[in-house]
Amino acid sequence: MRREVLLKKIVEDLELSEKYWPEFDIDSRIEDYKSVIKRDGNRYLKAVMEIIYEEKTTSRTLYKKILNLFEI
Amino acid sequence: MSSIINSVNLINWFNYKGNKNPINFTSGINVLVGTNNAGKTKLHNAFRFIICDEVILKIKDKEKADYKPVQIDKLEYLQEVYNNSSFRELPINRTSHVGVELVFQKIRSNGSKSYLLKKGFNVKKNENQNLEINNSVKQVFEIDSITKGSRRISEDFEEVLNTLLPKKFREFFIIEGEQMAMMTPMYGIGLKNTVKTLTDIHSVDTTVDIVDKLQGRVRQDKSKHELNRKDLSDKEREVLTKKNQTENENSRLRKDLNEKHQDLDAVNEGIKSLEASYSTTELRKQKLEELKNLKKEKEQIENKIDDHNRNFLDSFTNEKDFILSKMERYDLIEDSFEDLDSKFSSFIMERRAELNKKISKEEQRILGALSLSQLHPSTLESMIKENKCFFCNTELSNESKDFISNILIPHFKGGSSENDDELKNLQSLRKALNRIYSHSKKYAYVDANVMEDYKNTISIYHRELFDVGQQIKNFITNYGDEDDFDNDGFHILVEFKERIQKLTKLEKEISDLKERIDDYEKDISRYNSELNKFDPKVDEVSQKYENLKNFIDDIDKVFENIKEDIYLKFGNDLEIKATERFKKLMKNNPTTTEQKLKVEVSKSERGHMSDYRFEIQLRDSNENILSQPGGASSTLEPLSVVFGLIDISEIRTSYPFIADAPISRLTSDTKLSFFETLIEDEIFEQSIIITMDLWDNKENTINSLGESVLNLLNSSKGSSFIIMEPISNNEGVNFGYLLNGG
Repeated sequence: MRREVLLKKIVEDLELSEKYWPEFDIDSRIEDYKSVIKRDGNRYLKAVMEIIYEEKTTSRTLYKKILNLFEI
Repeated sequence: MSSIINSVNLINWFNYKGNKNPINFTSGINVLVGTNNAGKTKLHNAFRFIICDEVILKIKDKEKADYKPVQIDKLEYLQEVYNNSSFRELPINRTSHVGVELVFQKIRSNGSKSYLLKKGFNVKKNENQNLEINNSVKQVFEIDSITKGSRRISEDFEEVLNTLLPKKFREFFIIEGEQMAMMTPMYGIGLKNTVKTLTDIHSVDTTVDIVDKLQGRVRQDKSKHELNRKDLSDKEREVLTKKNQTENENSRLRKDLNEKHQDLDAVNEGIKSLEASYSTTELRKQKLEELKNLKKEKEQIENKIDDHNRNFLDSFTNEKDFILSKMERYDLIEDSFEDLDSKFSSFIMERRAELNKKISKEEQRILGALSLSQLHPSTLESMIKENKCFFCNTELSNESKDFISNILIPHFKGGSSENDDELKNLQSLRKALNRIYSHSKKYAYVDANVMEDYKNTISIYHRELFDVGQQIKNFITNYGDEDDFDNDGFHILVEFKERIQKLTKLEKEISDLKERIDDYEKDISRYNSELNKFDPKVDEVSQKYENLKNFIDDIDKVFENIKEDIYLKFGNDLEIKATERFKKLMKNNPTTTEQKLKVEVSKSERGHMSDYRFEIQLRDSNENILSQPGGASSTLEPLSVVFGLIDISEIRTSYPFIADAPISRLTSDTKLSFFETLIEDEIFEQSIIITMDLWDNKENTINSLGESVLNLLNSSKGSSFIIMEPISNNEGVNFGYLLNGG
């Protein structure tokens, strides 16, 4: 499963999008949301993107990035 | 993108003597055929050595010798690899080389690059007549596209090799017939590993795993933060501490539970594999029985032939059956008898003429001459009646008529002269001779029948012997000889019992763990209820943690759903692709039209995570399971799955597919379709197929299947058909190109 496909599935999930990124413009023609998310700045979407593009399952950096995104 | 092997050069490599043994390949299908000991497997081993750093040698282990992959930096193995003729001729302390050189081309849309890889050992023969390694050689050269000259470069050997064929794909792209049935397990972790190697489906597992770990860390840090708050009452802190400890303990138990599940899977798979081995052993036991019966049948026929030959030879020396004519050619005896009889007949006639006093000397001479013709009196009477000489077809003169009536007819009738003793002796001798002759003739007919019977029976026996010999030969080709059979399934049963005990133990442990987790869950929920009774004290950071925790819980659920969809869809896609591959490979076998490689996807819950496994079975249209170890299609089922996975994975680079004896275990109807599939395939741009199945050892030429494959390749672009002929005394191998590049 290619990561961009996984990201697309999450971004376009109805429940998640309504709850966490209601302002984000979903366009099913977009194959790879990576650059759009980077521009948009929604922290939930950014967190999802960081998780999907992370290689290691126990990355400290990823956790720190997520905490930063959530201002903890 | 593709990588194409242009050539290999084998240096003192098994029966390839000296340092110039180049073999050139083309970009399409390269078929190499040859008789036994032509150097086919040694060529395959050369690819194995330079690409996988191993060769397959027959290694003696205790009493049994088995083919095993080994590294040849061990002297005992290198000694086997090094050409023995070169070794004999190598002076003491003189340095020599053994190894393989490979030229390949990396073709990209923006151009191509050629590399020469050299791998081997510099060696010498020491004073004890043993091989010694001076140093190993691994070198990379770049080949100039214009001058074709090579220049050594500093790039890492393994990295360059990875561009020829990445390490993870090697086990699927460099194969030999025996391994095809084991290319991938058809269930469990083994199959999942194959899927992971060939596709990127596991990236969803990684993501779900990351989310799961994040959940744990957020929960832990949130609890830690809450415990550190100063506004907590002692009671509140006590409950929170207990809750925290329980959650940590629960998390540890879940981890244990996951590990136990993995152990359980491994044990279950081991049991399944033992069951397959046992049924294979049982099947092989039956096969061994079949082989033994065939060999017994062969022995019986050989005994029958021996008995038959012995009886036939005995009949020459057995007094009762002794027949002279058996010792000589009957026609010679027949000629001698006829000669003697004719002589006796003329003696009798001459004697009659002598006894007839009425005739003159001249008439006697005529009678003597006519006696040889043995004229019958009735013929002579007809001549007079018709007034015509039957010899010269002229009218008879009166004088002639008188001579015939008065002299010849009485002479040939006998009469007065019959009282003569000499004449009587001659007549009885002739009679005796004729009696012997007729007896001999009778025996001769009997002899002819005996000979005919002998010939017929012996030819039937020899036909039977040939048939059973062929059956044995085919059997050995398909299943191996007696030595190859493991006819002792006892150790499998012992291991089976041990694993069942382990399985029972693990199941008990898992059940206990689940009970404990349930108890902890109840405790946590109780602590939460207790905590809810206290005044809510929510600070900003706690709120943020809570917010993050909820978000991660939500995306975890969605990821789990996506994961399920992905695995189910993948199972479905694999079923379609693998079945397509299977049908292509079996297209000449009409029974497979309604069959499919059914992919079952099963889900198991592991604590917070779920795990998906596959199991693939060949089934008919009524979903009856057809897969069985050692079955007719058992070799092609894993191959179809691997090819199907490669189809799904959308591997963008085409790598060379190198196979030794890939069709040896296939049924005759699928051998040709194997080549047809490769020709039609776009994934396998270059294939190097080494086989003896296209060779007729008796006629020392390609067989009818070889002709069919050659015809196929003739219409396929870039294909080659190469005949390998060994030079005696391990002096090398000759290559004859029946087709070179299509």
